[in-house]
Amino acid sequence: MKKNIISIQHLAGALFGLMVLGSMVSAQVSVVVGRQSTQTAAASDLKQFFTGSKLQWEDGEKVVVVEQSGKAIGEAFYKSFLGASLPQVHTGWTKLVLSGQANAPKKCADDAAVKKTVSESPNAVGFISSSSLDDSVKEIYRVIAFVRE
Amino acid sequence: MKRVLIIAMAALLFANTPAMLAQGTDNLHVFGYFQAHFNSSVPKEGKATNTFNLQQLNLFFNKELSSNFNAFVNFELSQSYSSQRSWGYFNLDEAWVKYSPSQALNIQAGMLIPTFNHLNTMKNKTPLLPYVFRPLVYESSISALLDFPAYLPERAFLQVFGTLPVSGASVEYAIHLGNSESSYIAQSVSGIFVPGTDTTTFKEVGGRVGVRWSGVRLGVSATLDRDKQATLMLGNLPRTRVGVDVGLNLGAWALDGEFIHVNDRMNEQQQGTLTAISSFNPLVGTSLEKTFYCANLTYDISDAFYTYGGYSYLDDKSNNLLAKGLSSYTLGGGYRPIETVVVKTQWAYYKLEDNPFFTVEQNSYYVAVSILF
Repeated sequence: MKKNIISIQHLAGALFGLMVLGSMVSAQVSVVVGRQSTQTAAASDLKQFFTGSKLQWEDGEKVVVVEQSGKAIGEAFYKSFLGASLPQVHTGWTKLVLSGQANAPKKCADDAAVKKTVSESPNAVGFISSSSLDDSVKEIYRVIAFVRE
Repeated sequence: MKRVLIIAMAALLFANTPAMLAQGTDNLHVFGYFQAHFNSSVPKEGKATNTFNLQQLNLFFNKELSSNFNAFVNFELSQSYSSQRSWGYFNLDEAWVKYSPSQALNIQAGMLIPTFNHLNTMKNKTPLLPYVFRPLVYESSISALLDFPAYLPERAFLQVFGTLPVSGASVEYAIHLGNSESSYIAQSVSGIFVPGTDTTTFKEVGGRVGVRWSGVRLGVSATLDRDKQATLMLGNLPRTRVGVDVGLNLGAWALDGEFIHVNDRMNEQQQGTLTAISSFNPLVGTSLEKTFYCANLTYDISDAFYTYGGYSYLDDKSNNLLAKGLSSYTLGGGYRPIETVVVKTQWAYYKLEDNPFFTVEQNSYYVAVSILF
C-alpha cells in the first residue's frame, strides 16, 4: 500500500515536471557588443557585469549594461546564464544604485532597441535573441536558455 | 529655508522623471523611495497603540562627473516629516564624491555612511530590507531605549574601498576615517566651534575586510574611537567596536547574520570609579561592554512572494536596564506586485530580559508598503 502511495507521488511529480517543461522552449540568447566595439570578456566576467559585481572592462572603461524590459527573455537569460531570478538580479542592482556605486542598467524594449543602444556605445553590453543578430552588433557569448512560451 | 529646499528638490524630481531603473540623459539621476506603514503595538502591560506613519522618504541625486568620478547626495525625511507641525526629521544623510580608477580602488570623500558589517550602509534602504521592524541596533523607532552610536559608526568623511579577485573569490576591503561620535559635535556656536564640527582632536577610524565566494559572504569589521563618558566621570575612553557579518544564498534561501561587540578601555582608577558609581546608582553597571547579534532567514516562495523569520539581541552592561539584554523575534512576509513596489507584513515580539526596574514586553504588528521611484 505504501509502495503505491510513493508511486502515485512520483507520477504526480513527473506529470508536473512535464507540464512545466511543456510550456518552455529552448532559445539561444546572444550577449552582444557594438560592431565597432573592441571590448570582449570571458563568461565569468560577463556574469559579473550583468549582476553588477564587476563594473569595468579589462581596459578600465566603465561597463554600460543594457537589458530588455521584456520579462520573458530577461528571466530566461538570467536564470540560464546567472542561475538567478529576475528579482534577485534587480535587487542586487538596486543595492548598488541606492548606495551610489553604480547606475542601473539601461532598459530597452526589444532586440532592436538593444542593438541600437550597444551599437552607439563602445562600452555597452546587452543580450538579444540570437535570431536577431545582424551586422550592427558582435556576439561575444551565446547562452542556451529556456523561455516560457 | 527647509521648505524652499524641499520645493526645489520636488521640482527637480518632477522635471526629470525617469523610473528608478532607467537612466537619465544628462548624467544626473534623480530617484528615491519611501515606506509607509501601519503599526499596532500590544504591550503585555499597558495600553495598546496603533498608528499610520510615513516612516521614511529618501531622495537621491547621482551625477556622473566623468567616467571615473561621481557625486551622490541622499536626503532623508523620516517619521511623517513636517516642519510646520514639528514632526519627524529632515537629514542630509550623505553627500560625497567618489573617484573610481578601478574596481580595486575607490576613494569616497564627503559625508558618507561607513561600511561596517553588512547592514550599516543598508539599514535605511527600506525597499531592500525584507522586514519593517529592523534588527535592534538598526531600528530607529526604539532609539529612546538605545545608545545607537555606541554600537555603530554613523558617519565618516573619507573612505577607501575596493574588490580584488582572488582565485574565484572576491576580497572586499574598506577603510574609513570620520569625526568622533555625535556627543562631541558642536550643537551651537561655542567658542571657535561652529555647529556640526568636531570639538576634539581624536577621530574615528575603522574598516571591514570581507570575502565573497559563490553564494557565501563573510566579513570582519572594526573601529577605534573615543566614547564620551562625562556623566560617569570617566572622561574620553578609547572604544573598540568589532563586528562579524555572514551571508549565505542558496537558491531561494538567504541567511544573514551579524555580531557586534563594543568595549571601552578603562584603567584601574576608571574601573574603580565606575564600580563606586554603580554601588550607589542601581541603574549603572560595572562594565561598559555592549553586545549585539542578529540572524535573519528569508525564503523566496516565488518571484513575487517571500517569507522570513529572524532573531536579534543586544545588551549594554553599562546600563542595568539593558544589562540582561533585549531580545526580538520576528516573522513576516512580503509581496512584490511589480518590481518597484513591496508590500510587507511583520509580527515582532521584543522583551527586556530579567529587568528589575520595569517590564518591556511587546507584540508589534506591521503592514507596510515600500516604493522605489
